[in-house]
Amino acid sequence: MHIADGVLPLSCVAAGWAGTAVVTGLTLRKVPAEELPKAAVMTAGFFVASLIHVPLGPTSVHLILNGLVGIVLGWAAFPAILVGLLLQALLFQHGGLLTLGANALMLGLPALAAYKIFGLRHFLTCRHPEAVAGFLAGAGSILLSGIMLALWLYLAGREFWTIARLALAAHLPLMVLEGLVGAAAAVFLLKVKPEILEDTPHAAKDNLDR
Amino acid sequence: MRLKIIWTASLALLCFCLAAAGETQAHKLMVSAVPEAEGTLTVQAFFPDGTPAQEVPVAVSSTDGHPILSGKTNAQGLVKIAPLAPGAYRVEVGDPLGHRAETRGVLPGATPPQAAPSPRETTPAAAPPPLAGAPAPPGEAFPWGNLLAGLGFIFGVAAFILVLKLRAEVRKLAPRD
Repeated sequence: MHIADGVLPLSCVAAGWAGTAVVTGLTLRKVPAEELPKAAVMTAGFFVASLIHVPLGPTSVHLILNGLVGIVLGWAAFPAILVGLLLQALLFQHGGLLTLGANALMLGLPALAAYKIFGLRHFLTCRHPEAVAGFLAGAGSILLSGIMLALWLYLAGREFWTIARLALAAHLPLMVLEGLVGAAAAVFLLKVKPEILEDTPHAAKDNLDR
Repeated sequence: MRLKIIWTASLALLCFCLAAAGETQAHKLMVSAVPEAEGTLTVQAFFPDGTPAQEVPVAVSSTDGHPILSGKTNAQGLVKIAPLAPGAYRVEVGDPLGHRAETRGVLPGATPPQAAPSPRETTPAAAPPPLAGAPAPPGEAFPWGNLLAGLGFIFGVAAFILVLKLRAEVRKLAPRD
């Protein structure tokens, strides 16, 4: 799910860069320097995940893990994804440098949404709220990324619903896969090291202590 | 103990990612254009692991961007574009989800191509067996070097920033003369 150079018109490219600059500025202000090692590990995971490629019919998809990045990093997810995308464009030619802004918004905003979705587990009354919230965050981030992809391509003059349907169909297995990854990671991390997740009481206490 | 479990699990996940990545390779669209019989350009679209890109629109234009012919790849990611005059062409493939690749194809001959008045459609190459003389999808070597460079960059920059921060903290704590 990377938009290549030459697909979007210049106005969309400029809008993507402007939006990315604003969101990066806003999110970086909320990230303490102590989060850097965690952010580096998650950025590395995001960077490598794009090499896992699953051919599906006429197109192909690859692991994205923006939902997991959002769950673990919170606000730091956006700059982490921006750095990951920059390296993917430079080193693997996934996406393009001109469309980096649009791609960052397409994958980074759903990561922030995943962070918020995962926070809803405190209000869930089911048996395993963290697993359910993790699944919804992982799968939801892919769904939102697909919708944003369709929106960008719509702005580039393509038919929105056709692209949206195609993106949804192509990424449906990935949604399930990333939902499972999100659920498994959430359950595991909450059991063994809950403070690693951004919105746990431990993490909140840590942040207050700083 | 918990930290040890996390590091072991992370290492296992990273190993899985690398192993899976080695089998299936990267994700981007690639294209090759090979001259075949007289006036025919065989275009092949594929992903870096050699998987054919099926049903992908292919557009052939003159080097100055004037559209000449278009078509769609078949199940092998191939399409024959014909008839074309000898000369150099720009070949562009792009799937509906925003992937795009471009290359140049040259048909032997001295005359540059004459731009057609309007774009025309050509038919996809016949279904299997693959086209005679068509190039096998070359695939791409796994980018180990680039992968390590990327990981090195990420951890290097993070370590650099942390060291700077640590130095500032130490200077704050150090007694002043």
